[in-house]
Amino acid sequence: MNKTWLIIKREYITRVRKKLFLVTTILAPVGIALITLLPLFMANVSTETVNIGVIDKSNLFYEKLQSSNGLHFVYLNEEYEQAKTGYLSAGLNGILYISPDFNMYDGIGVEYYSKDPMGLKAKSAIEDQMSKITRNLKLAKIDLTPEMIDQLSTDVRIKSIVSNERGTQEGNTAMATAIGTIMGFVIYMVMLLYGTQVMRGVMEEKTNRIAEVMVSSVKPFQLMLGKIIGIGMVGLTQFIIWIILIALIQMGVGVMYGEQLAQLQNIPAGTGGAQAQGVPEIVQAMGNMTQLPWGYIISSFLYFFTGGYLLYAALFAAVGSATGEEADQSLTLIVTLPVVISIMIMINIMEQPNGTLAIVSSLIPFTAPIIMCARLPFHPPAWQLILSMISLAAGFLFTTWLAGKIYRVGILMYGKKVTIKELGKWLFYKD
Amino acid sequence: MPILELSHVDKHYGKYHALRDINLSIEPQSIFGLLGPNGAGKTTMIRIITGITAADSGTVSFNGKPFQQRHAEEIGYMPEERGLYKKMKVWEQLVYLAQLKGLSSRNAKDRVFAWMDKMEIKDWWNKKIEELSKGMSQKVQFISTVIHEPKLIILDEPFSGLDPVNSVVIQNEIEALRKKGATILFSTHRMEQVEEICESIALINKGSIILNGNVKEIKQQFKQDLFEVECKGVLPQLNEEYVEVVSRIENKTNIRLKNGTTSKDLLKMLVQSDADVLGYNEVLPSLNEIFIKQVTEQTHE
Repeated sequence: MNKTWLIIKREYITRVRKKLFLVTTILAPVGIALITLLPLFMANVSTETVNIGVIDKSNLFYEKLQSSNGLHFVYLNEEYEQAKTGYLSAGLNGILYISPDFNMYDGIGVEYYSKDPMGLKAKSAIEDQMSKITRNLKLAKIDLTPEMIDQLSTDVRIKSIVSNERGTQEGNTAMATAIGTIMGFVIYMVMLLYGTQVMRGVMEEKTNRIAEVMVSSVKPFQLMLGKIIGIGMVGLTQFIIWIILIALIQMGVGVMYGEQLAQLQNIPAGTGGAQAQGVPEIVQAMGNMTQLPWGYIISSFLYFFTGGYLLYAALFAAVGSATGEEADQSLTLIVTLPVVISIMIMINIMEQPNGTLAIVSSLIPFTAPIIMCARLPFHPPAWQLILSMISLAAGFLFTTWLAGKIYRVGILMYGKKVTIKELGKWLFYKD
Repeated sequence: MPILELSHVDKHYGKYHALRDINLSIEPQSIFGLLGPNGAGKTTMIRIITGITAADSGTVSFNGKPFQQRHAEEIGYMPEERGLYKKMKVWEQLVYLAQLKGLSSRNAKDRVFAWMDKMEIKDWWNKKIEELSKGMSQKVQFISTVIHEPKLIILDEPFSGLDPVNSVVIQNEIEALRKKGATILFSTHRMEQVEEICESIALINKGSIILNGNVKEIKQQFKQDLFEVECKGVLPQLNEEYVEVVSRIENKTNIRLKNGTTSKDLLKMLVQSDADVLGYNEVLPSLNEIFIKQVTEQTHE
């Protein structure tokens, strides 16, 4: 059996079997799901109705407050002080008191009296209703209806048409930016997280002194490559499990809470009528998502994902081999810096995804994985994509060669601290 | 045909000249000692023999053929700096290392359990390496070195850190392996062990071989015409024109021959002197003495 394959297998199995792997792989998506679902759960849990006695001395709100969303209004004909003593025995949770000098223009003069503090949701629901009522009252004073106001404000929307050699199609800048940024960040995480895992693995082998036993059976390059590929496969496994789990959770949620989710999306964030029109935009964006060329995006993403990981993992392996028990901060920094710079460039180019900075940085192998991935949804010209891919391939062949040269000397060098100048010398040692 | 032959091997690390024109040949089924002070080039030499690094010039032949990577499977190497994956279980570790030496998974498992039985560590088969005592992990290390039945076994300071009991266990296993046909290459700076075990040695200092050959022959080569005479009572005065008394401890006297006197002459003198001789034998220098003499001579040059 091929020995590199044996090494890949060991690196993979020992990591996947660890409890930490199981915990992070399974719990992370569950955690994300919990956080997104918490509001839904909460909405379902707090279904207990709050009974509120309303004493309206201003006579503006009589019979206008509507019972809904767990709030039930009862209009009382007693005095405030009287009600304060008897509301509990009447089965009420609190009293909403609107004083006779309530002023429509500053909204002051409303009190809520209760034993338990008022819930935030109930408070904002009542405030919203009362604001709307006063608004309509004020409109009526100048002979306007709410419909007329809605007609006044017009929502202008720009349709972006992208025309290039791939044809003309409708583009959605917001969605493209979101997807591009997410993909860029995923690659950033992969390169740093799994890259440092490779580095720690190499350091462990060196400090355990197993490296010398290993290289008496296999070539140092095989050992390095086996580790890089093994850990890369661990990362891939983790991502695939995450994607499957998230998809499953979403499906489950869709079945269980489908209606409520639709409701949540339809509830406008504020009270203003204008914001209600934000809903169709979200729906439109969702629609556009399915129109994106997913086949092209996913396959290119996987290419840059793999290429970027290989390029940086090789460098991290070299750093690990050159350092001892503790990671050499300056060497690690040299390797990490281009990754961090890539992210900073990415944030900057999202405004101009096909500008000069974007083009140049997607052709440099060290920044290409993050930058090109972020640009994928913006339909970069084909020649740039192909050139970027070639540059990345050349880049990782180069770093792997370079790392191999450093690695074979580094893993057998004990005890002394290595300078960058010395690393340079190692490149010219004969095997 | 020697199992291992190095000819004109040279190696630099940058400007540092690690090995100079090394010529060495090791006969099959022998126990060969590679001696030298720390930093002499022993480890570099072993790394070249095992194919871990390559020589700048010169050739290494294994069993008469130029060394190739596949020969690594016929060599077992235990480095001075012992190392195992601490988090791996004993049996998994051994099976893994055996597979890397070209054994099939099934074959590796069978041999691993047979060896664990033999070395009396079977009860720990499913423990992690980090849970073992030092002696036990040394045994695991030894098994991993010989599990694939290598033709050449290279042991760098094999007894360092071993207690006397385990030391004997390993020593017996080494002898058994040699009887089965293996050749053993020892690297050490502890001379008394070499004298006990090795047939041939090479003494290496500052990257060059300064002495090479059969242990008995080397000792003969460095003998100083010194004899030890044991007798009842005090040894009478001998003619100082022919011999010189070097030392006298209780009733043992060390005598050096002078001016072409032979052992036969000394015996005659002893008989004539009417001494009550109980013992008579030649004193050969210990490897340690030869070693120190050679190394210091070379340093002073």
